[in-house]
Order: sequence, then C-alpha cells, then structure tokens
Amino acid sequence: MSYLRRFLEFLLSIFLRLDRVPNAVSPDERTTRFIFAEKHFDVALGRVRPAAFLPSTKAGNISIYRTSRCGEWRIWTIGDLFVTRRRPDKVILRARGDVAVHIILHQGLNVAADPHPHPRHALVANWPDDKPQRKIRAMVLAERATLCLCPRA
Amino acid sequence: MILAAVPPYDIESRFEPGLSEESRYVWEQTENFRRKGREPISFSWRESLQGEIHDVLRSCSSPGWDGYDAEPIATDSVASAALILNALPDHIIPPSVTPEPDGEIALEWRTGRRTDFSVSISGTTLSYAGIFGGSSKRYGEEPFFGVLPAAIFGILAEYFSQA
Repeated sequence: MSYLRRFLEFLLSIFLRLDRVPNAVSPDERTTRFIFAEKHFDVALGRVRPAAFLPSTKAGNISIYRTSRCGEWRIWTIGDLFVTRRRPDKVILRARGDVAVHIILHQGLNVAADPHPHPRHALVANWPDDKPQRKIRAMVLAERATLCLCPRA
Repeated sequence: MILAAVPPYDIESRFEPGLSEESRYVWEQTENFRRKGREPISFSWRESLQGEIHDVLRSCSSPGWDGYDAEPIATDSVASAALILNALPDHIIPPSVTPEPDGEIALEWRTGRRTDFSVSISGTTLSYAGIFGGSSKRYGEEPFFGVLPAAIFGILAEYFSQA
C-alpha cells in the first residue's frame, strides 16, 4: 500500500507541477508563507507571529508561494508535496499565513518568481541588514497576514 | 499590585508528620504546595517563562527547525533571553517566547489595540521593534548589560503595564 500511495503522490506532484503562472508577480496576488513551527502562530489570537516572516541569516530571503486562484486543497497539497515531503526531517506543516504582494512591496521588499521546486514558488528578498528593521517589516507582514490552520496537522 | 494565591484552607492543620516514609513524603509535598501558594504570582510568570525558554531550546536545537533554514537556537541565546526576563519589571503583562530563524529568542507582547512589541538579544545588543496602535512604529538597538535600557522600559511601562 505504501508503494501505491507513493506512486499516487508522484503522479499528483507531476500534475501540480503543470501549474502555469506568469513570471511577473502582480501586486494584487495572494501569497502564502507555510508555517511549521508551533510558536510562529497564535491559535488563541488567530494571528501569525512576526518570526514566521523573518529570514534566516543563511538565506537572507523567505520562501513563499503564489496562491491566487488556488483552492484550499491545492494550497495544502503544494505545502505537503513540495515543502514537507522534500525535507529529510519531515517537519509537520501546521499553518500558513496569507498576505498580498502589495503589502510586501510596501515594506521595500522584493517578490521574485523562483519556479523551483514549483512554478508558484517565489522569494521575498531585499531585507535590510539591520535586525530591528527586519523585525519591523516582519511585524507588519504578520499583522496583515491571515492565519489558516492546516486541516491535516 | 502583587496578588498571592493562597489555598482556601490551611492544609497543614489536617496533617501531622508521622513516623513512616509515606507520611513524611505527604507532609513535605504539602509544605511545598503551601509555600508555592503563598508566592506572588508575579514571580510565577518568570518561572513559567524560564521553562518555556528551555522548551524552545529543546524543540529548536536542530538546523531548519522552522521547516526552512533556521539556525539552531543556541544555549547562549537561552542565557541571553533569561537575562532579559530577569531584567523585566514586575508590573508588566507577561511576554510570550518566540524562537527566531537567526537562532535568537524573542520576548513578545501584544495587546488588542493592534500593539505589538518584540525584543531579542545578540551578545550585548538588544534589538527591539514595535507597532503601536497599528500605525506608530519604533525600533532600534540598545546596549544591554543586565539592566533594561530606558527606551525599552518606557515602552513596556506605557503599553504593557498590568491594570
């Protein structure tokens, strides 16, 4: 059964990769930041915490997905197949924060398409080197983001 | 205002320490309970958060703990967060503890009036950022040597005091 399930997931990932999105990112697109750490969102308050949007020192950017015109099943399946399953530690996808591109751009950040591992993948870059300025930008994104809890977690 | 949680009745008067091991054990546990119950609640939130900080260290000690490429939370970060915790005034609402992808630990406050504030420390530098009332922003860095800088103390006193 496990071979069958993996084969079906493989077919599903092929199908999802056939997604086509324009290379140019539009300001009114919805983007999704998948959240794996329990302390990066607050269920009681229904909000994303700023740390969910902070870049690491290694990458200097954050990974998001362009999820305009995607239904809930597609969004969570992309998170599962193209983020969770690709990690050796198989961290559990717990939630996501949705935020519009124009809010990200308003903070002086860039959103650029990066179609690997998925056509909808993008990177938010141009973060300041200064930590307080990174924190304040992440705080604005978190404050404007919509928290959605993963139904499969 | 410091509140003390006191048991509704004096438990000790119902027991006398007997001679058996079990009796002594029950009496000692009862004494611990009464002693804890008379501690001010303001001390309890610090202890609770110290525990939470150590939980963060345990759950975020591997690279990529956030599902991306977060740095592991180091014991230095735990010690630094504990220092900030001990420097906080008693009269503020307790913060929440949040691990950050650069390996630091942040203490965060939020009120219902769209007011967020976050403080984290790297070495001897405190980084802070806050949004107040949804529009006003303050952020910066201050040196930290065990005493809360005036800028941060002022923000906590103004926005996050207990009623």
